[in-house]
Amino acid sequence: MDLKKFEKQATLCYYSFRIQNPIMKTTTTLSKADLDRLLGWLSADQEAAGKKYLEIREGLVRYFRIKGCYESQSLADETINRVAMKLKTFQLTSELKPITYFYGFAKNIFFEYLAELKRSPMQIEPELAGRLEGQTDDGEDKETRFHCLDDCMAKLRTDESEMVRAYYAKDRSEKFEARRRLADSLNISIGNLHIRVHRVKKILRECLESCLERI
Amino acid sequence: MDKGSEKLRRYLLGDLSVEEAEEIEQTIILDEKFEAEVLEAEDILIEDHVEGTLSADEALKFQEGYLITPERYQNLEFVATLRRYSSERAISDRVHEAGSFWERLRSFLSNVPAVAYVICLLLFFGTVAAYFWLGRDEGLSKIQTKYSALNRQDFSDLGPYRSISSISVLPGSLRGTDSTVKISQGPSGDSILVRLGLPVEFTNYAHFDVRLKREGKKILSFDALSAYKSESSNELRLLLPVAILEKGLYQLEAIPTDRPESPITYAFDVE
Repeated sequence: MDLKKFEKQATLCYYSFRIQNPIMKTTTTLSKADLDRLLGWLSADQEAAGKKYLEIREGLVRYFRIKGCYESQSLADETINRVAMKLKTFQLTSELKPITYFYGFAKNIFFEYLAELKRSPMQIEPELAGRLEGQTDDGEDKETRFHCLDDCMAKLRTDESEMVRAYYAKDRSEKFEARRRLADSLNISIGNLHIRVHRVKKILRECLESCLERI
Repeated sequence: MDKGSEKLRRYLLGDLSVEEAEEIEQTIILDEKFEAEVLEAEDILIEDHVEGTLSADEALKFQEGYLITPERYQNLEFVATLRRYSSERAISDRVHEAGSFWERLRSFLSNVPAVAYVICLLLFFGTVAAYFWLGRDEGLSKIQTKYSALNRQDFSDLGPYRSISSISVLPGSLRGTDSTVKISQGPSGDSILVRLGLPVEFTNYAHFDVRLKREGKKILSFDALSAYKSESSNELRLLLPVAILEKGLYQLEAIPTDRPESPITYAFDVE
């Protein structure tokens, strides 16, 4: 098998593997007693505690997402579970806010994630990653990806697909002026344009990965 | 790049102190709006990497501090693919649009060759005609301006004009009758002095607008020309350019400025 074919297979295999086999197994489960203790710690008011719980969970999902963890939801749940299970052993002080505990656990879980990643058979070594990066020039692979992107773009609303294509059509110094004009034409700020593109990009990426899995 | 964005960039590259990084990460958990700022900094960082505009130090930190998870690598690869896709599709769209127009035109012309030839001929002759017509109009415009100025001068003393050709025309002169004034084509000099006798009933009108027409089409016009007393009756005096007087029947229409509903018509023939 030549190197390019191997690289392509490795990439496609990674997409499939990642979904079916999360890098880090999260096996903890939360008992009702632990959950009640956690909610009581967050707030004496049950409704406020529930709201706080959801806010913290969303915050943890954001944290793991920004740290580059694919399983951000399950890692956030794992963090909450561990905090809840250890809560009875904490010497709680009013000086430390709940977020400090959650963050401390989340950091540890992230380090565990990185450690698991290094042990994972699908870890992409930097050297291979560097070569894979150049793979976008490969004719067959490029055509496959472009074909998938054509399909994915067609599933978007026309204004969304046109926006993303216009956003990425120019590079280097040209892109700033092109994006400013694009934002003007949509009557939004550059910041809002960026957020919109990011949302659509997320949809496209999921669609592309799904398409590549099928091929 | 502002300080906030610069700090986030350094955070993503793993270039901040533990305390600074913790501050950012706790803000990520607490403030949902902050995520957009981090993602924006991340996208800019990735694009800079793809474009090769990172400094050597940043490029190293990008590899060692940012590309630490497969997810981040996949995101980088996706952005690179999307940029390439958008750029190439934009080019192919432009080529396709340009091609489709000319292809449609060529297809149309090849299916109907006669139409193509006619269109080409019409375009050619149209261009030539427009060139001469516009040139003629431009010439007439200059003549109009020049003779409007000339005809505003005082003609009460005809002494200075004795050396140029002149004709006297009475109203109602018709072609083919003895009374029609005839002049030979190409009289000497640049101008010809035309004296238009006014009927008795128009003696009291001091100013007239005069139109020179050929075959019903107006060629020149002069506004508010003065009427002058002559031996028998009043008359209008004006200069016409010889250059425009081609062979044919010409009409002059004198309209009293105070009585526009009663034009007086004159005619002369250039032979």
